[in-house]
Amino acid sequence: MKKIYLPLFIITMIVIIVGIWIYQTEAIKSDTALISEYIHIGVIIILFAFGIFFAIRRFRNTKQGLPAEDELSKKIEQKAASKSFFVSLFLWLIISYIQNESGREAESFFGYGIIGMALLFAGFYFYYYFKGNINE
Amino acid sequence: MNNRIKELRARFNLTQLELAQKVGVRRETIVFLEKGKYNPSLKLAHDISKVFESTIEEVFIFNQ
Repeated sequence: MKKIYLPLFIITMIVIIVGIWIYQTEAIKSDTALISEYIHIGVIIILFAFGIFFAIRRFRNTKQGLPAEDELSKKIEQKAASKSFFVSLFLWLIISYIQNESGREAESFFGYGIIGMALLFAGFYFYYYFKGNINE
Repeated sequence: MNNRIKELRARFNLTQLELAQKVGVRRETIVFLEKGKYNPSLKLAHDISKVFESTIEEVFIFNQ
């Protein structure tokens, strides 16, 4: 299997799984969904769009005879990863505080933390990709 | 650090895509370099200079 087809295959699988999941959500089907459920789906769609962006970029570069990754893209990924990890420490701190105050079980907050980390990475990636000066 | 990539690219009649293909990077990297938003590695600077038949110092200008 060519290197380019693997991300496309993974994204197709994610689309199918997320599609089935949204379709099967009883609350959405019965029109009784809470705002938090819509936000949850919205966040997943944002992360999915981020994956699509990655795949299209890789596909376009490969088609033009360019490498899918180079020194700049690796540097952007490294900077985005390190920044998002640093900020996510505070995110987990806030989540721990909210969990402690709310008294709800900790397991339900893990999902928010993981999705928050993914969103932070996507945000920092786009910041460095479009605007950031990575000579700092 | 400034550079003369845009000027030399025009002189050699190369598009950003063609230069990217010659030095083996993505086109976005050439865009970032021309805007001065990215300092290349020594290898990339060497490869770009070679395409323009110049030395690294002639293409990349170090501001002290």
